[in-house]
Amino acid sequence: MLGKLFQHEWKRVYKVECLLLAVLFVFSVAGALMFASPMGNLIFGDGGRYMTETEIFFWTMTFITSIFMYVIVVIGVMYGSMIYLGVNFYRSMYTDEGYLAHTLPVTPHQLLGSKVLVGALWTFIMQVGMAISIFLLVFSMVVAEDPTMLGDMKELFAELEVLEPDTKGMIIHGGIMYLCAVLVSPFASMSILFGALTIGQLSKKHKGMMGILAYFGIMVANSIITQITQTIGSILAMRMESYSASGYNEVMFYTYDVQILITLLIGAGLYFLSHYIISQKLNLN
Amino acid sequence: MNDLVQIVNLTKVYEAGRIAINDITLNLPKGRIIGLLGPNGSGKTTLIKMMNGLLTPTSGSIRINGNEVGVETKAHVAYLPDRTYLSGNQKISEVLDFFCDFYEDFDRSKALEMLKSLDIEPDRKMQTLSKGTKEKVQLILVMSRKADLYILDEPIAGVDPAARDYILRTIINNYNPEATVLISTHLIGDIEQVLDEVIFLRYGQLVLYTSVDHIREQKGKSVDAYFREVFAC
Repeated sequence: MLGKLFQHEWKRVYKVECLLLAVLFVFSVAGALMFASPMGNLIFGDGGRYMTETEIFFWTMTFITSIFMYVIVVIGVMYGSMIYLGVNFYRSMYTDEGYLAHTLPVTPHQLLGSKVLVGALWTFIMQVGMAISIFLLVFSMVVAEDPTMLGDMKELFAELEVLEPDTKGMIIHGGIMYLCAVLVSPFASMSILFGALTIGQLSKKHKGMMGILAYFGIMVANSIITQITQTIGSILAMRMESYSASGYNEVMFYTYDVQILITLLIGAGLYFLSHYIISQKLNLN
Repeated sequence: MNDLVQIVNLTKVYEAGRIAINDITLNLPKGRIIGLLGPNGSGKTTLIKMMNGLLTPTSGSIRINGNEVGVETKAHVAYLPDRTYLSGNQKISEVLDFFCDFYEDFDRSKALEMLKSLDIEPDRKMQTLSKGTKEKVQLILVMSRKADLYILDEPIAGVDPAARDYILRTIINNYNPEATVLISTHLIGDIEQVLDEVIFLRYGQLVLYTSVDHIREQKGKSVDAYFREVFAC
């Protein structure tokens, strides 16, 4: 049943998510083409050609406006996707449509799991899309500003090959943790979002609004915990620095691990809380 | 044991202490058409929602075919709520696919046949249908299942007399004869002729559970007339 639920949930959301991806793609390609075109040379200065102050101001403003628009689009797409997934979840579970969802012969784990899976997968796809988009834009800017910088980047990667084993180990550790965060954090994000919306169902009135408030509350709490961890980590790292050169970085990496773990634990906790509410406390209006 | 539904000491208290269902104990047999009757606010929909797992009882229990309300019971209960629960973006054909995927007892060809008899194109999107047509589509979906228990919440409320006739005909001609049909309504006159038994609810309490024949023979009245007498303001 999980497979069927996943399939139908995917069908529900894929059109809007694809549309958001398409918007991101269009803006990324347009931006990259702009920087890679002769216009890009003008924005970054075209190798010694004299430019008046007005021209410099114009092209600088063009650059700032382009980047600003791009950032707005990226943020809009990311939050748009998340808001859409949240609205879709709420509508399908706790409005009239919930009368169908909750009378299907499926377990609460299957129902909730399918929605978390689809939401997480789309969040992951969005993150990958965003990474590609940013890479594309930065790459085109590098090429526009100074094509020889590509050679420098190759050198940078070559330097990584001959790093000290400790440093190399830390970079690999950091890379693995980053990968884990990228792969697993979408599940945590969706569990937190859906969990908060489900907590809102415990409210007597304004259940949707209470769900949104619960979400912001959880996010603030998560930030506070992260900040506390960061502060403790920084203090420990500074102390470790006096014992060994790599001590600071090591502690900071472990702090990062702990932060990821805390977010995952909050996600897992909210998933099980949502399951409990759906199976034991459901009261559809 | 011939009982399909066993309700024991069921109570539902809403916020602010409002009692919607008050300590109801009731056994519903198999193979009957039962009217769940009562004035507005008597607890009909609350009882139905608890039978479908949409509301959590405050206390007491409900068993259907010996199982507590859950995956097993939902597979054998066909429920028509008092509202549209289908997404407006879906085509009727997609809804049929959905029902095929989740309900083993759903008969797609039967649903298509009923849609055809009403000239409803399966390619149409739900949001393009009128309120009455949406209700008919939902009824068709429910009655195309070979369920053990059909629970229909106000199936004839808010529709014209011709549509009422169609709905009643559809229910009578399509339900699984071995199943029980529980119909909630306050339009008793329209539905009386199809009922075997009636449940009267008032302020969440069970006032009466008896056969239609008993009311006619013992009270010498129609169910509608007796209802008016019992619930006279």
